[in-house]
Amino acid sequence: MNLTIGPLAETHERSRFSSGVEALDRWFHEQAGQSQRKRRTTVWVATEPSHPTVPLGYYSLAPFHVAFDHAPEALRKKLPPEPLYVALIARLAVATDARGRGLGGLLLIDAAKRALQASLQVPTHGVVVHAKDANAASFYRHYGFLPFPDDTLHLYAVVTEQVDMTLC
Amino acid sequence: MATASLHRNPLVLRPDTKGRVGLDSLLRRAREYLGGVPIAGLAAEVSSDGTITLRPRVEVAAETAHVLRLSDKDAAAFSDALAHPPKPNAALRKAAQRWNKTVDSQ
Repeated sequence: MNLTIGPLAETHERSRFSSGVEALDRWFHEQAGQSQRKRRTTVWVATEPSHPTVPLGYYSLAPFHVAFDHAPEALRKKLPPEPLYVALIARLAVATDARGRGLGGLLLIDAAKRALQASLQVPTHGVVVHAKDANAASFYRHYGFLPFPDDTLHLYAVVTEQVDMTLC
Repeated sequence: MATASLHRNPLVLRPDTKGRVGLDSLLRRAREYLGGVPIAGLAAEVSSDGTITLRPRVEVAAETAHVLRLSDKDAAAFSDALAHPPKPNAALRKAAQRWNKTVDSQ
């Protein structure tokens, strides 16, 4: 499968997109454009070259930081100074008729690559994802993302040279 | 690890005719709503008529917040990962190779 992944554009037929997850579909149909215009998130859309207006999947990226202001002093000393910035993959969805082709993994790699490229310009410590449910969390764990022990629907991957070499 | 999925709609608890929402009922329904999924918490919104709307914190954070407050356990795990970063696993490496062959990223 050859794919193009680029920024959300007016030409994308967003209303045709259906992942089967109502919250992800509704956001993409109704809010993704505004979210991108207001620079809350960037939205990236996968299409096939032969059908460049038909979204097969999307993900959104946002700036984010993790806070640990209540952590014990001994633990705080081990962590970088706050604020500790990360890139957030806020949403990632694949159209139902594009399932089973590994598109989710390609979208995740594309998101991670963009996050890593950005971190070369503005330092960040990793990538955090919001998993919509336990199945989504399982998807991210498959690719090596680690769940926070007390909040298993938030998962993270830290930025390292090895990850850079693998992805960039 | 539980495999149950969270409900996608919020849990709405309406007050009785005397404007009360019982704590027992709230806790019971919150447990049912979570369905065994281990997450740290629910975000509560209370409207002027006393209706309580509960949603997983992760849902609220995706829409509004730009910060994730870590518990001590979460912060310790994140600190360990920063100190000893795991190597990219086979699935990630394979997907990266597929991406190189198939994706035109613009």
